[in-house]
Amino acid sequence: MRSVLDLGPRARAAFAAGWLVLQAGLVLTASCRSDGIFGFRMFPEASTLEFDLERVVAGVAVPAPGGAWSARDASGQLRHFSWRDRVTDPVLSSPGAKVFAAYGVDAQMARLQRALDDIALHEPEDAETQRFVARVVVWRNGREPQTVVLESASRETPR
Amino acid sequence: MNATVRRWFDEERDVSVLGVARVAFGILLAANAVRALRELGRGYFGDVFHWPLLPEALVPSRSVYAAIVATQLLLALVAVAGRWRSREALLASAVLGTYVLLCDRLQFHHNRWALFCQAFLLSFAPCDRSYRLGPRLPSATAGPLWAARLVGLQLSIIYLASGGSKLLDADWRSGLVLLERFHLYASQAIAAGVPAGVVDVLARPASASVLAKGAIATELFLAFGLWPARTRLFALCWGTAFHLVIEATSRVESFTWLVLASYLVFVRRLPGRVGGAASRPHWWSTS
Repeated sequence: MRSVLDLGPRARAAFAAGWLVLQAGLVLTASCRSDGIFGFRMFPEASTLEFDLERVVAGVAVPAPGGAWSARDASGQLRHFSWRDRVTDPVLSSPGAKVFAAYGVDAQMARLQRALDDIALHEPEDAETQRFVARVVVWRNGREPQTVVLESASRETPR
Repeated sequence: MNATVRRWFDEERDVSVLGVARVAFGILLAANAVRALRELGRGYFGDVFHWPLLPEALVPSRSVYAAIVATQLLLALVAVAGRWRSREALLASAVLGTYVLLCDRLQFHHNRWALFCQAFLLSFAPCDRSYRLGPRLPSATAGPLWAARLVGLQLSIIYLASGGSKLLDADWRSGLVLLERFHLYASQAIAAGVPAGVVDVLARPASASVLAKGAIATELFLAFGLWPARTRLFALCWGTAFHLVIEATSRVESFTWLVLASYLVFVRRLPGRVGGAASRPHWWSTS
């Protein structure tokens, strides 16, 4: 049975050329993407990281141990929140735990920054937190630890 | 040069072995879809933090996502069966898998992207003429090789990208990355039955340095060594051993089996087919 996938000679060459250009482009530009996706860089690092979550309330940083915190909503009622309810990624879902940085530190830092912004956007019932902060300790390929601070976008709070 | 290029695209040969690759890729696509369905049972990624490469509006709802993955599974099984439009099913399953991958880059893994690339490319090869359910086809075991060669070329690109990026990375070249991996996973390896003495030797800087250089050299060799007839058999054996070691020591999902299935495009005939058709169950026709 003839298939639409049986290409003619000219189409074969055009298809193959297009595919190779696409793959070469994706591989050569992988460094431009924080997580290097489509670049086939297998096992790029053996780094680990640990982060603690904080939230800024009335201009003061308040710890959120284990990614859990309580805050009042717009009506003044106290509510409980958890980082893990929103962030389920195996690497990012464990504030306070040292984890392997799959695909490297840069990939995980980019994801963590996104996660902070996502949390800031998706916890509308928290009327107190102005922004979220992650204090990240990074061990890049087993070297001495370095600390990096990431902050979410600022949120609008009624007070 | 022109003649070589023309031959690359036009040459025809026995393509029976591609049926095995189609079955293998189909099984891997099916396994990938089953994994996605299992993960869906624990929660839908679209309901929590995710990071789409596509515009958010193109990320499906939970029910649509479930339907997409179920369709992906069904198409993969059609590809395995090989009876009806199996090449189109292989292509569609790979495209759906890529779409899902683009919906959340947190779920991106090189092995998944490689699987979708290889399955997509193989669908352009006449891989539906053998190892199919149903009656034997009257003839037609010969077919164009260009798409199968493209599958091989994609594998070379993967090796070149992986080996090249390690070669350009000072931490990889020196063995620091491997050494740290050994340190991080030593206790797990010992718990899994690897003798403590072996782990101790591997976790030394000199050993890690040698192994790192060996891994880089292996990947770069495989990128090219699979092509010339003179080095092919050695490359296939060395590559198989290399990937089995990785399979035993790391979590790479289905990558090992994907690579071994991709090696089939470098094989002219399966051993059982030398000199003619091998005896097989009648429902699993080879030609």
